[in-house]
Amino acid sequence: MFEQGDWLELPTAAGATIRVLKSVHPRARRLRLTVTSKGARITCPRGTHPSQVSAFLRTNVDWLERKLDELNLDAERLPALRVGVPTTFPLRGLETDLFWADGPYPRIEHAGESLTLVLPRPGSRALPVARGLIASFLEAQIRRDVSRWLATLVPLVGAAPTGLRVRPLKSLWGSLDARDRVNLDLSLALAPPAALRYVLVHELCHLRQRNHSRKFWAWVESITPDWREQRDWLRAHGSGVKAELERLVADVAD
Amino acid sequence: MFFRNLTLFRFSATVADDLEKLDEALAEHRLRPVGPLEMSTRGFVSPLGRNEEALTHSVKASTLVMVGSEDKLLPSSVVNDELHNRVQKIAEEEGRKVNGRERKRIKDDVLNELLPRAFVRSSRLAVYADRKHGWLVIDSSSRKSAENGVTQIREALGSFPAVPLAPEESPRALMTDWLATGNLPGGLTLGDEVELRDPATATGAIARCRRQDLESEEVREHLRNGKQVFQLGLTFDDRMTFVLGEDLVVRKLKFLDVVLDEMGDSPHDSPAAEMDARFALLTLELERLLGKLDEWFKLPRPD
Repeated sequence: MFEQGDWLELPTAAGATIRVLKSVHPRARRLRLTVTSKGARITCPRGTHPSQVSAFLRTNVDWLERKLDELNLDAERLPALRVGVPTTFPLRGLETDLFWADGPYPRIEHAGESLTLVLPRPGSRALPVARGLIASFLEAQIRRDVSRWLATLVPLVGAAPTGLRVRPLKSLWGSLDARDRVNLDLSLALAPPAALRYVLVHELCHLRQRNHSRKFWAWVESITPDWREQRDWLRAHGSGVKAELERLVADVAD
Repeated sequence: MFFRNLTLFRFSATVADDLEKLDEALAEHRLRPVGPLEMSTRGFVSPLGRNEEALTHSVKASTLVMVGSEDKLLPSSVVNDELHNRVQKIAEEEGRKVNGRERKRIKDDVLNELLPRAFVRSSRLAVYADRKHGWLVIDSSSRKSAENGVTQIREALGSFPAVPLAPEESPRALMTDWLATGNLPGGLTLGDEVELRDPATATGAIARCRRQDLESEEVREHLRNGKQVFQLGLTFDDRMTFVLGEDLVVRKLKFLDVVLDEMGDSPHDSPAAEMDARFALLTLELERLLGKLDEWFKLPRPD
């Protein structure tokens, strides 16, 4: 779908350069600048004149710089997940130890503040199996929380979603689709439960208000008075959480 | 009438009270025949049979309704073929191209001509609500038709916040554990069907087995390689067999002879009486199964 273009180099006021990936999308209507942990990307409609692109980038260079700083892209990279090497990761906002053990079937054991991955035999398949286990475990954590909250939230909102999907999302935390299904980012399992609850409430409120109007935020406020705090947490720590998830469950090319 | 598949929703006690007036609410939403220029109609029909009037049928706290629909069968390829012919005819006779707007108008004409001649297919979807325990049970394994069923009830009642199942225990993890260890909760035994999938990648490997001994080495080898159970064939209390999915949809539900014998083969006076007997048996049997599903997977009822 994307026509992967080339990297554009954008000089900043401080004298540094930012690399921006230019990509042409057939359905794009206007220029769009996005920042993820993978870097900055500018999406433009077909046939956009290069000068238009560079003018757009120049007007937004300050914003781009600020966002990249927030993401801390130059923060030290997390160690890769390796079979048999214990590590730690945040689970529901709490630092949790990850251990490895041998056993007859792949299984994950959760006790207190530690998680043990039981694998039958260390082989070439061990890493994908481990990643699959972790992903299923995290999804189960989210579903358990959401299931408990939904029982009280649905009567409050007065509307029910038709389904729940949990999977890794690139830049969003959650969304509500046209068929009223809630999508949540898998990495929310690593964030504190309060942040997950805020994202869920946010999406449920979209069942009543499909926009971000004042009315919508009033709904959110009536259910989660501390939503600003949670939103700020996600803004400040979000990229770290997403990077952690990437490390734990990223699809390995096998 | 026995349900073959079960898609489940839960609702709260307050919503259960609203269901008391279901009978009146449905009267205005009877199924009407599809008109010559309509694509489809939806509405309620009597669950007791063609010649009956009542739109609901209750046994204790369970109420059965039947969502009927009539759909015109008009394949888009037929419409497009006819459209193509007409466009080509214009191009040949008048030597000009047909623009988008005109194309759309011709397509509407084609639809208007073909719709009255199209076949009508009618279908029925049985739904029952257990008001005491807050279950909405739909006889379908398709998410889409289940949602259509809920939408119909929602339209009739004005509002009907039924929640899709959100288990606290991950069905995938629990069923994988059952199969790997052989420790099933009381009353359950393994059937002969399983779907195993590799959860590591979105495009992971899938192994489906039928008529397979689930305690065999082949199945264990799949589990050792990290595949997880997505669907599992089970027998409950030696009274019914089914395939349970990770989405907690019950498929291929079949009652065993023990249950059918209890029905007795005394001939019933009318189809309606027979329906009543079958529905009573169904709700009684399912009440226990749904209670157990709640216990194993923890499916909280909204309050």
